[in-house]
Amino acid sequence: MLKYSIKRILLMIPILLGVIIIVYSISYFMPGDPVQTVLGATGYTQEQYDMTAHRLGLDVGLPMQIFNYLKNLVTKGELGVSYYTGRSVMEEVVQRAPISIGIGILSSLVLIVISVPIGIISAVKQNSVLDYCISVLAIVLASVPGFWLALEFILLFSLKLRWLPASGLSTWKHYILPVACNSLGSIAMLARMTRSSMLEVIRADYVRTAKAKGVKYEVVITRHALKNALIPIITVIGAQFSMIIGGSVIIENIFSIPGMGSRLVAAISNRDYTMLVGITVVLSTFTMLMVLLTDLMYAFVDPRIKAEFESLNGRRRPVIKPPAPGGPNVAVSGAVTDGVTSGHVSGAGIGKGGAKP
Amino acid sequence: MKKQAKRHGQLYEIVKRFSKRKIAVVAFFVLVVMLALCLGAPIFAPYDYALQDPFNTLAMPSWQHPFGTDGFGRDIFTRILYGGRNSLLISLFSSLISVVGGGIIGAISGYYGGKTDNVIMRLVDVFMAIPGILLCVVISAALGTGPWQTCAAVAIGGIPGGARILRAQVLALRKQEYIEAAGAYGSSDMRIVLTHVVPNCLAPVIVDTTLRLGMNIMMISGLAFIGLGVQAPHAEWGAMLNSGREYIRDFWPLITFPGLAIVISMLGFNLFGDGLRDALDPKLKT
Repeated sequence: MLKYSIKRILLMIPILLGVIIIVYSISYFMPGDPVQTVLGATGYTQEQYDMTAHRLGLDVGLPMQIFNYLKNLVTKGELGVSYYTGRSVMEEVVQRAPISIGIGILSSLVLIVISVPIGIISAVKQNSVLDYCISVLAIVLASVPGFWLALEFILLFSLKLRWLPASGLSTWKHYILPVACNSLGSIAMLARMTRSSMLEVIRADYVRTAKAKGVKYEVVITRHALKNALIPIITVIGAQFSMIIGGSVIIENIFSIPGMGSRLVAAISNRDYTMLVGITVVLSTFTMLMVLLTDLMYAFVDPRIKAEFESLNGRRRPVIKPPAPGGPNVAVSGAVTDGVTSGHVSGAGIGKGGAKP
Repeated sequence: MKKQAKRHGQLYEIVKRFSKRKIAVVAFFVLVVMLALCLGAPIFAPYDYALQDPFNTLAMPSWQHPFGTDGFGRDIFTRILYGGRNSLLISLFSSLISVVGGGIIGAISGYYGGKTDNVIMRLVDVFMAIPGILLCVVISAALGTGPWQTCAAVAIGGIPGGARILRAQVLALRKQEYIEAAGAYGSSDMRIVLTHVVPNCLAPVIVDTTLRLGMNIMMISGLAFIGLGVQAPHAEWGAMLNSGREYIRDFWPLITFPGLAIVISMLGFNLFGDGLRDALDPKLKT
């Protein structure tokens, strides 16, 4: 399992590399000249212009710029220097990331805590008034954009009722509205998914058997039914997490939360492209990590998937082992291409190699 | 002739199944009315969308201005209709581009498999790793503001998703006997894909398109809301909401009505899409 996790994390590297290349390339074609952003529109000599371009590393072609960017990231852990503030992007991101990520995780927790029980109740009491109300509410909420909800919530809870603050992030009360706006749309989705996933298993034979054995109904639902219904639910949680992180870009902007999302929007209007690339890469990395986490959760939920991972590792082990001296090389090269026969062939090869001396 | 009669029969079945879902039918009619009102904005709108009235700014809803007027004294109802024309058309075009573009990529990937599939899918993985809205924001920042740019940004952002859906469909179909049979009697790859594979995976793609239409409306208004996308003097729902933030303390209509327009259209597409899914393929589950 650990091996599989490590392998999955390593597999993230090429994707992350791709994300950086793509986002950097897109930013390369953004309107405006970064050197002018730094120097101001007028009042500089050509020499100053060239020097600044050189200092920013913009006097080389796009592939070289990307290479330098990656080199900086790997060797120094830097994401470049902000064109607008002149500060290190990494520094600012590190300062802001906990806020955005914290709200993202908090929203996801709220999402899970609220929508999974709602979905279960809805499924258990299928076709009741409660189920109907939840279904209708779920469809309606899924069609409400978070940013509009944010405006209406500010109007109602901050301006009319004066219960909750509308901007900033100093007390726990400040978290309520942003987290609510982030998660409400997703709550609807997840509750629906939980409901339909539960409905599929709730009539299964093993659930009936458990009931017939006299197991308590609550235990049947949580241990027997829910556990088998969890896979699609986990998948949706992963997808919704990505939605929450994306949506937070707009939500943070509305509530003036000093996170990465609000900085990203400011970076676009300031033409601060290094900041834009940096924040996008960090947010994407974080999203990927969370999706990976949900993938790994599959194994904890479903022993069949876990067994598959483990047998996969076991099967590939002979490939990783170096060939024994004198063992036929052909067997090993064949092993790389085909997982199933590899165990056989290279195993036999190693066996032979071991038998020779 | 016989073939045509059969086609008619299938369509009839679909319509019959669809009409059983009352909510979906209502959603369909709401969408039709909304589309008609928005696309016919020059006919139905009581005012010009850019007509300013400096003596009547931020007027509350009244008989003259059913939804009130904005900060420049422009009629909000009129601007919602024109804004809807922008939102709906951009959403329609971008969805079609995503589905067709993504579909072509997905079909190639799924049909040929092997290395082609690997390369394309890894590229799709990279795009999918970036949260959807973030990708649209970044592309939109590069392309600049304006309706066409927004359309392109949202469309490009949706292509990887479209590719995944069709690829999964094609992969499921590729091993079917009739595909093998078509290959055996010498059909070209192009012909097999176009006449055998694609028609058989249309149902999920159509449903995806409908749901995407709703999703894209949110994307488009979200982009406009943060100052990318469609901008003044053009009307756009998200941009209207953004301009309403300035007056949020004492003028509610400007942030409420455009938002309701977004919600109603999204709800319409979502419910219609759900109904369509059940009607097109009873085997598919929600």
